[in-house]
Amino acid sequence: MTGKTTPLDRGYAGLPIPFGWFAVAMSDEIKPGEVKSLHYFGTEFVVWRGENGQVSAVDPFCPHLGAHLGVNSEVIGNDLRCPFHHWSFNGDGAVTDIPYTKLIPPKLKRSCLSTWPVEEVDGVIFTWYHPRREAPKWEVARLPECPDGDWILAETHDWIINIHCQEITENGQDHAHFGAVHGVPFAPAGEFRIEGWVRRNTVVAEMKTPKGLMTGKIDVTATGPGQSITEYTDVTHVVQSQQVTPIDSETTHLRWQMYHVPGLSEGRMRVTQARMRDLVKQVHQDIPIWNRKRFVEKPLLVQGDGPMLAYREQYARFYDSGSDS
Amino acid sequence: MSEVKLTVIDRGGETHRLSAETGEVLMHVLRDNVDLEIGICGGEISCGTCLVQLNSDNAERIAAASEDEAEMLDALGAGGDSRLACQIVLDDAADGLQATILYED
Repeated sequence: MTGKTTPLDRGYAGLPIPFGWFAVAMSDEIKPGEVKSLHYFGTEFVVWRGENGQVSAVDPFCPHLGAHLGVNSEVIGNDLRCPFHHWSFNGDGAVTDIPYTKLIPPKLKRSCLSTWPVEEVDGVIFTWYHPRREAPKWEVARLPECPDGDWILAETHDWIINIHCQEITENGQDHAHFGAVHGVPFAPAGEFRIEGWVRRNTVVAEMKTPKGLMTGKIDVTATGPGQSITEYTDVTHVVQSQQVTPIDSETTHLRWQMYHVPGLSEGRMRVTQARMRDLVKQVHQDIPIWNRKRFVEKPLLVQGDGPMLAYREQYARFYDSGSDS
Repeated sequence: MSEVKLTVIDRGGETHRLSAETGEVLMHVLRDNVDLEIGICGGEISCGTCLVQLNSDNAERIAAASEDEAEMLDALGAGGDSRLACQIVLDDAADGLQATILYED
């Protein structure tokens, strides 16, 4: 008998972090002139919003003498000024000012600080993560078109969950858990279609309404590993925009924004709010299991379990193979 | 390795007669024998403190400036036989070189 204890292995060591566009902040979390250090993808980076409203993201250490660009740094105009010697950088990672020198070398004025691609879409700030810094391979997905005016943002939520981000989206393919965890029947209809980096599913499902279960349509558009936009069309018309963002290979930041169509009657608004409450209630049922489960590389699946292995095979395209493509 | 004889005029106008060896970088020779303030960036073509004026004879024979060096010389407003000493590796063509340190604080 050895006196040694081994750390609990939840199986995430074999799962790398996928590449993709990932939400790193809500737009209103970074106001003009604000700078923040963010921790995602097993690393750190610094974001700021310039006077011009543009968000930029850079590696955290100043290339001059290594100060952390998120500590006591300041946004000056559209640039970020390092606290250590007041070097200023623009969003392209180029030096724009060094107050004490006679000459900024031309190459520093081109770029000397690594940047992260940033897109701001529908109130969410996204950055592109790729382990070898390859350029973005697709664009951030936008909300579907609202049938009548503009979507109304009703609720936002976010959770930090001790799980790899692949498992959260894989959960949608886990047909058998709907009955046990959520108490709703799951009747998959229609098939998923893969078009490049986008996966689409349309299901017909029994949705809870005050008048009992009613048949409704659920359209899911998953773009890359980081985004999933679900449109519920039945007695309500709700769009749930979800982002999963890896903090590291065993921690995920889950964000939701929920929208509904404008001009709802009181009655339909009540049903809409009940639907949103129900969706939040469902994820609260999933989370305790997610927080403690292990990733099983070879699960013991039986008939009725759903196409999880097929989903995993397709998800693998989001993992960097290490060669240029 | 063979000897390379150098004559260096510093910022104060003083003349230094130095002896270096082939393979040495001119900037290091200047920094270690004439002025510690030369070569702040360590030879990365970023500081301009190793800017020197060379005599034409030797200047013609040593290896020409790279694109990066040329760009920096241009930014410094340096012309003609000016070079960045950190980019000059001394060889036989440098024997008898006269270098005037141009950099001023």
